[in-house]
Amino acid sequence: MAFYVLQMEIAVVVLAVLGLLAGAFWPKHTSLIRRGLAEGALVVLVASLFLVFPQHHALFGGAYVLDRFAIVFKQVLLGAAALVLLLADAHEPLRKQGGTEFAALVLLATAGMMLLTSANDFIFLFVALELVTITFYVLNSFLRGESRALEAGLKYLVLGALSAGFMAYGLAYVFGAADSLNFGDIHHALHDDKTAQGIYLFGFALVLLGLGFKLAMVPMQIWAPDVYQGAPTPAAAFLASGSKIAGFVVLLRLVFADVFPPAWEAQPVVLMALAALTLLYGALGGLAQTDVKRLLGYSSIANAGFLLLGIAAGGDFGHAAVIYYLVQYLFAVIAVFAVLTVVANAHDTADRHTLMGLHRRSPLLALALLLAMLSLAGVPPLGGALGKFFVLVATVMRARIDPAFYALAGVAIVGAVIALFYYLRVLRGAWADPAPDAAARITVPWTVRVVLYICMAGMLFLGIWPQPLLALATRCLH
Amino acid sequence: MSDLLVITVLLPLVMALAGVTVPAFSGRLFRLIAQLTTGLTLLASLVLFAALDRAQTGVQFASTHDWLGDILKFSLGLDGVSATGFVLAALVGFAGTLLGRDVQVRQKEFHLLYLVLVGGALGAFAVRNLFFFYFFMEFEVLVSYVLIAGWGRGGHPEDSVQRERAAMQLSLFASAGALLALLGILALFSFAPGALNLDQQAAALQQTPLSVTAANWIVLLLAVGFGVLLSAWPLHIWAPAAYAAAPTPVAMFSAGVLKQLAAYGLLRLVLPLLPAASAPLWSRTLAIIAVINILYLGWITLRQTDGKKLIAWASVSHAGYLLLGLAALTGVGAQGVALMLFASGVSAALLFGLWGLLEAQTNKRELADYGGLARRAPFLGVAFTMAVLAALGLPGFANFVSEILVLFGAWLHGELWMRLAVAAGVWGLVLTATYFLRAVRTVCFGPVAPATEKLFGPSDAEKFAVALLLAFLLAVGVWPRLATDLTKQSFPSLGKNSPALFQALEKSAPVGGVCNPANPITTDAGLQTPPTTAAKNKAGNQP
Repeated sequence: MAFYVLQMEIAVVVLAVLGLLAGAFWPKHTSLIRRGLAEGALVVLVASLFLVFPQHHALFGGAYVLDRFAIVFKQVLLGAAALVLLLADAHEPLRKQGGTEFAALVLLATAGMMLLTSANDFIFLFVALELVTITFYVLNSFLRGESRALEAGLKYLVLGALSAGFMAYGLAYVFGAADSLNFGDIHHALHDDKTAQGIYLFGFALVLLGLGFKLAMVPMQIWAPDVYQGAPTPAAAFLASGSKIAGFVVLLRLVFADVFPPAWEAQPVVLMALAALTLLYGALGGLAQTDVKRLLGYSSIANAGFLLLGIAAGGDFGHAAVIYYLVQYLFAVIAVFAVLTVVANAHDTADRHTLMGLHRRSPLLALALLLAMLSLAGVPPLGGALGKFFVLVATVMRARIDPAFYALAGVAIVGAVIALFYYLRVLRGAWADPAPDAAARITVPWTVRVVLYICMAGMLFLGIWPQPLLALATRCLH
Repeated sequence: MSDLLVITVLLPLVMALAGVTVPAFSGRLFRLIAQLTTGLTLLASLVLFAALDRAQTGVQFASTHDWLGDILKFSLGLDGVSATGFVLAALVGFAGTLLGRDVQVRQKEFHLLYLVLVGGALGAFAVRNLFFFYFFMEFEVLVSYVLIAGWGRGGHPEDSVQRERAAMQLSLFASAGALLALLGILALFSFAPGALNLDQQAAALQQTPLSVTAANWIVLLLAVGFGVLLSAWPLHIWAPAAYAAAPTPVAMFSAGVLKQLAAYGLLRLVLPLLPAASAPLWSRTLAIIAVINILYLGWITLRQTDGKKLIAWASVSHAGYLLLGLAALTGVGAQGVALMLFASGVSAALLFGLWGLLEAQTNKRELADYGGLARRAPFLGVAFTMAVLAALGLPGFANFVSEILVLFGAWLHGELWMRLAVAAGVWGLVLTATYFLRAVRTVCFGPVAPATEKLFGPSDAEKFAVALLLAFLLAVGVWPRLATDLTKQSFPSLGKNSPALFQALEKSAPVGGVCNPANPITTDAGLQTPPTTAAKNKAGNQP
């Protein structure tokens, strides 16, 4: 067995275990260890850039594949984990709680996500998905003293368990219909057996529901605002970036492997409807929110809608657009959560008053918030604009064959304008409102500074020069 | 020269980025940086304008940069119309930095964002690709949001709510419009990928002609998108409040450049796509909207008592003339629109700038609070009077020439309803004269009011900015060929893209030859040859 194929995952798990042990042996140096873990993740990331990977390698009887698509997203997820670990070190409530468990758990969740990117078998997928979900049960309720965090953890647990149930139930049908759980075999098994296709459709719909929990897709989106609001800010940041990216990577893998039910490939009505509903739910739900973290929950739903739109539109360009969207979304969303990590220190909540007069209290945070919010809203020249633009290009190209996509593009635009309203409302607090007199200047820890600089550079770079990433995304498809 | 164009577009953006790293020792420093940068930009834009070859049609100083493989290339270049807009953006941008007396807080952020605003507008005028035009337009809108919400008109307790609401309305309306325009651009892209590039559009559309339905949808989406920013009725609702709430430099820029950017978009990007079959329908629709803008919104302007709101409403109402020139679908009308871009932009900027000078000192908003300005501060009084005379189209100012061209162009269209629209346009000039002359009478003459008593004359820099704007208006007004020699070079390509449309028009319009490449006109924009009836009508109603 060629274990070097798994070297990145192994490195991350070893790092996590070392972190736990080091925390137990040197409890006085936890801060140092936590930062060490973040740097370790970065080292693994940088090292992976120089490693030569075997092309299209498969392990465990084809359940695990390693191709360029998987490698790129393993690196993206590692990067996200490193940024989140830096944030976690600067997060006051988590610092007070001490220990290295939070950081170690983040790394374990990362390992699960990295395994997900390579999953080529439904059982493997299910196990890797549960590794991520169960780790997040702990991460979300990590602040034991805060009732809000406990509430978030419980809600995530209940809905997570429900979605796991859906998925397991669906997998039984999939196995029954296709006689295999390997993506490669399913496609052949279903070839022209109409009965089996019907059963498979039912099973696959249930699997999609289970996966929809990770994506925050309607009708499994209901947890997102509550959990984002209650979870510790770095945990929410990882939920919004890493967990969501991993979910969409799995969905893309299902598309690439031709595991989608044949009826949906010809006419993706279900995906189109889900995309439209997710988009509108996220856009309309966010209108009444006053808490920024909660708002980001709705924003995450709206963005999931855009990504689903890209997947429904399909085609090489559509898939490349989804990959582009995922990467740029990572920078924007982590930047917002980085700002909130510093601003919302005391009770770990972030109603709009916490942002009042931010531009006076810390110009850097205000600038980062401005760029991140505008990027989420899709304003050029930031990455978000091009992410949305590429998805819309794919949609309109598909619409030439299937005019219903024009309507979908219209829905996307309505959603984008509504969402713009609530993003701007957040900025109003930060830029237009006067600072409360008592609020002094905020000092930004260097870890957060590094995160903000990286994210701002990423957003601007992806908004101004899309060529390298889009070329890479296109290469990932083949 | 193409390098100079790239540098000119990038200069404000690069300076804004570089400025972020400079610590905010004093606000003055950043104002100085903004003044120097925009000053250099203005000089460079004038050099470019002068260097344009007047005998050549089509794009000049073109340069293409790889952006996204073969799908999209970032190409810059200037032709006659875009060069006019380019100079306008640089000029108003520079004047804005000199007249921004009401910006006193957080000068670093303001001036850096303002540089970004100027750079974006320059980019939008210079860019030769529809997608990037959208890109810059949307970008401008959101920068204006921050500038208006953060530094808008203040002093009254309810102001912060009002300016925030105005800024939000601006962003939502204009972004919705821009996104609709984007949808149109994408649809065009899906039919003929090459058609996004302005310089290859004609060829691309000849290769894969659009169906009439598709073309109509695309034109509708683009027209609504640009119509919002142009403040065409009924998409104008956001405009007066946003202009009135903006800090002086931003008000100057949005009413003086961004609105003109939308008109440029309609002229340069939408007209060439019009399908000949439905041209009469579009022409009629645009003319009706133009008349509503001119008469109904002009009527609303009559009721304004707040000086800045009066100027804002007047600027919104005057968008009707731009629309009328577009509706005409004649070469003369298009020429008029191209010139009016410049004239209306400079005069709106001038009025907002002057009013900003008054309001920043006295903190009074009602026209009735002022009086005797000409006696207390002669320079301001004279400048204000001249600005108003320019705005209402007195001969000698560029506005006069452009209005004449627009009205002639519409008359040449030939149909009765278009001539009725021209009559409405002339009546609109009477409305303009009424509200503006009333404002001049109240503010400049009569006994010196207590508010005016406190006024000091403007500083030398401010005088320079005002004089500069007036000088441009007068120069183009006295010698319109400065601009028209260039703008008319753009129209052969306009005619080339949809020849059927302009051939149809030439039958009804004997002088529409400006847009016919086979018959290039060397005289001054056809001014010598309009039908005498039009001239009489004009002369008879000129206030």
